[in-house]
Amino acid sequence: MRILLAEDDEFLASGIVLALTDSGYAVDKVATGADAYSALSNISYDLAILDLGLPVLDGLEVLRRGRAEGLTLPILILTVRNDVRERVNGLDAGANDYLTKPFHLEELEARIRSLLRKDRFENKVVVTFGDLKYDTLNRTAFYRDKTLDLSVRELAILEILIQRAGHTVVKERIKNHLSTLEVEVTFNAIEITIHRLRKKISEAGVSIRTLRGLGYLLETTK
Amino acid sequence: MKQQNNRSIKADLLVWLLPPLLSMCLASSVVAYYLASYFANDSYDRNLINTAGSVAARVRIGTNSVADLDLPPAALAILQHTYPNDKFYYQVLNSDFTRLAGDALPSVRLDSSIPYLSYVKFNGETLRVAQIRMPIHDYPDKIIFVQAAETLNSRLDLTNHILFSILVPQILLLLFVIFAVSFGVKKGLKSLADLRNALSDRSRSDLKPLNESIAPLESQSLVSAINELLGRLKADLDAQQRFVANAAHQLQTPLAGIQTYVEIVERQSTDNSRNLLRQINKGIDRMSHLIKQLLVLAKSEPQNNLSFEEVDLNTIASEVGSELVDIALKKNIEVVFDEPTKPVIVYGDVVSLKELITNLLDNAILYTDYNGTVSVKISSDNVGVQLTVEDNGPGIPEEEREKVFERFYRILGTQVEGSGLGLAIVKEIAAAHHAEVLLTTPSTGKGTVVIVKFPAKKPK
Repeated sequence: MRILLAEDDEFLASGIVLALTDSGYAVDKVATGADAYSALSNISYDLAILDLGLPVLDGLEVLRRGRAEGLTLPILILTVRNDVRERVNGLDAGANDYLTKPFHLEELEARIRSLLRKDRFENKVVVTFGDLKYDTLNRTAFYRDKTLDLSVRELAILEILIQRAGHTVVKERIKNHLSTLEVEVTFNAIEITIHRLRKKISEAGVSIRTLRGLGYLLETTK
Repeated sequence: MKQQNNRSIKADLLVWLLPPLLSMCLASSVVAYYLASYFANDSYDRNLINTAGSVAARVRIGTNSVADLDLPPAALAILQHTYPNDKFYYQVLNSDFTRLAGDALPSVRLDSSIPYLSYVKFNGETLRVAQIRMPIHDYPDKIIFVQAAETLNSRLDLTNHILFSILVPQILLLLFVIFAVSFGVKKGLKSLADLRNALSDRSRSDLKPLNESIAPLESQSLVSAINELLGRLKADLDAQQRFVANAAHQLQTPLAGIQTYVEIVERQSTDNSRNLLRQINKGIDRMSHLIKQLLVLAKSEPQNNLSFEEVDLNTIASEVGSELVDIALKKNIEVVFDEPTKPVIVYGDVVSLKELITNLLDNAILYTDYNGTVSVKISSDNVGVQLTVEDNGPGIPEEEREKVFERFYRILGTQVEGSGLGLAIVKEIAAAHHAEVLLTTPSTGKGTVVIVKFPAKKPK
């Protein structure tokens, strides 16, 4: 999943990027409202974390413009503005969640999971495909009661594929959701990860078919 | 207002007005007295000279060409009883000042052709003496001096009369002036009293300039000085509040950063260092709470625009109560909510009232020992609405009760990690609602009772 983080405090932003990358998200970091707006317009993100006190263009304005232009991704406001009125303003401008600084990383990640669960998995706690189950609460994949030991990158790809299980996912989409502005993931690297993932999920009777030149497809082998 | 030893305008005016008035009265009295006694003396002196003339008319030259006085006792009695209080003396002297007849008066022996007046001592009394020089009929070369003398009682009486009749009206006038000045000053200062009332009737939050049109011309400059001061005060308060709010804001982002890094390290750490990291996290939580409290405090300062409306204190209190039940349960503290049956309406700002009750309950729970009790009671009568939060914790010593409302004031020896801002916030919010905060001890003698009294009527 690819997340946009718009935060002008470099110290805090780096910390969040570090933590989220560690959890398997691809995170783009921008420091101004204008950059946030142009990133949102050009790249398809799964979620955006928006500070309100951004230079150049205020976070609230980025939010309003984005929503006015039809952006539907979940947006979480992360700000020091703690007033009830400001919270209401933020949510009414189109945000899906509001978290104030300082915050616990745990809570930020839980809110991200919650937002993505709603947006991508229709609030399903467990997504089942064949005998493979994906737990959206803990972001783990398991088969029967056994948790599959997946790397964050493998998990990230599985998350993309299982959202559209039984349908083709074009490889550009995968690439887009794994890359960041700084690190571009190559098709080759994706292919290698998918190769490993394929092995790990095969015992659950699920395989990943490669549609050459096109993309990938999650299907049951039975 | 405290009565201090300040100068009073009334006293000042009297001090400045009375001495000149008094000395003017005194001076005019003295002048009048001297003039009066001069004229009085003058007429008495003329009479005395006339009397001397009358005595002289009785002088006859006898055969041995020695002057002889033909003054029968009846005539003398008439002369002597001109003034009933005075004694009369006379003396006839020869040209060589040897006594021819009359009393043995000591006298200035001066050969003066015009009547000569003087004072002499005689028999222990001061006498006024008039001396005239007379040539004797038929003996043009023969000259005698006749002296008439009288004691001064009548003159003094007259002078005293004059003095009295001048002084009494003067004193009456003076008393009247004192009264008039006092009264006038009081009347004149009424506009200052009005001004004072206009200031003291204001709510704490009201730093609007005074209406200059109600002030009299003389205090116009005072009013504009006060207005200027109010303006500066408001600007300073605003700036201070902005500073606190900004500082708190600015502190939060780096704190969030620190917290994030600590949590990242925590995830990667061993059990050993995790304990240390938990300590850091506790510190961050405390700091974060403190910053939030600072922001609340800055926002609840009365000059802020709170949105006042009619709210049910009951609802707010039970909401806050249910939010804090978790913390109370952790210490096994029982929270008793004594709920009245009907809504208790106060005129206030929901957000800050919530903050007020949160802080009171938070404090009660924080400072009460395990297994204690915290009770919340809301009651209303025609005087107003009363919110009471009672705990059976250690209580607040009498001498600390004023100070606990100060920012960052913490009672020495308390182990609890409070921010030191809770009661300061309560005080600010209460003030913004024209409410009064009282601290007492419960009837059991142990613990703290905080009572917040809201006025019954909608404040101005």
